[in-house]
Amino acid sequence: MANELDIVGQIKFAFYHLLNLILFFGVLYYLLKKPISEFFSSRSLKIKNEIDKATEIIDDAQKTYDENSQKIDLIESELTELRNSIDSVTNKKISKIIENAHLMIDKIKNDTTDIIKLESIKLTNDIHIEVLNKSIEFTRYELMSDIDETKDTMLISSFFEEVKQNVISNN
Amino acid sequence: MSSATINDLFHALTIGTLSKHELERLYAGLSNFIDTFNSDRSIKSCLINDIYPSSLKIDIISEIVSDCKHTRNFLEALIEFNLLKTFVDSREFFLKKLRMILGKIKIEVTTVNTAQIEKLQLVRENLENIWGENLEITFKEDSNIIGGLILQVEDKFFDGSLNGKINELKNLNLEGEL
Repeated sequence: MANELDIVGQIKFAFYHLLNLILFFGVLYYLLKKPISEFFSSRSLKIKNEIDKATEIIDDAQKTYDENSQKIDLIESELTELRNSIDSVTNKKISKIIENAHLMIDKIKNDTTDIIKLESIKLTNDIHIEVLNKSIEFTRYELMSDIDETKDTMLISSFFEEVKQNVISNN
Repeated sequence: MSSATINDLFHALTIGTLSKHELERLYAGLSNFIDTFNSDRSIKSCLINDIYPSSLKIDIISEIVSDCKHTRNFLEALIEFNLLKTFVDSREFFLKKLRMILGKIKIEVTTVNTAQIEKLQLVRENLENIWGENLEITFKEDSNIIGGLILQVEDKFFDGSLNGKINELKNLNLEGEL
């Protein structure tokens, strides 16, 4: 009997404790429901805002990336265009330089031919003049050794005839 | 301006007032003065330099042309008007003018040898035959002419030398080459 009483007492005890516990949890729930709910709600809102911000940043970044990609594409196309243009200009320049070089070569060739011709004429003239000078020198030497009193007198008489004619014709 | 004044003095001296004989003496005196002036450097520097007094210049001129009064007077007048240097610079012009008045012709003959008297006589005769007897002939020696003569008759030049002929031929040849 005593054991039965003890079990009942223990169940009772357990029941009270269980009831206390339920009450405790009920009080806890009543008291903490609102702050916890608010805490999680604000936290959720905060996280949502942060997610929004992150999304926004990601969108901005995507946008910047797209813009930069576009710019890079533009730069690349410009570079290609520039490269093509440079190639074209370089080719034109090279062909112009080659053309000028050919012209110069032709000019130099013609000039050289002219110079050679002129130098040849000059040398020929120099040789002729030198031969003439030597001939004159020789003639002078021959005349100096050949001239005598009679020839000189004849020369003078003949010269006076010329002078006389000249003076008469001038008068 | 100065030359015109010399011209005036010269004109006054030569036109009308002097006889031909006096003009001959004037010419001889001026020629003598010019020769002395050209040959004597000290006289030349004294006469053309302004630092020497006129009296000294007049004394020198009197000594050079003591035998010709008109020449002396003319040169003294030039000194007085400070025109002697101008006259000396243009001496050939005035001497030529005097020769023209006198009908005289100046001839310079260049020969190989001036020691050959007979040849010089022949030349003189020929010159007189062409230009008359009133000649002022001077002979100059130049062995480079080889033979023949060169005549400078006032402003005219006649080259009858062998050297001249050779040069003529040379020039003809050169013209042909060019």
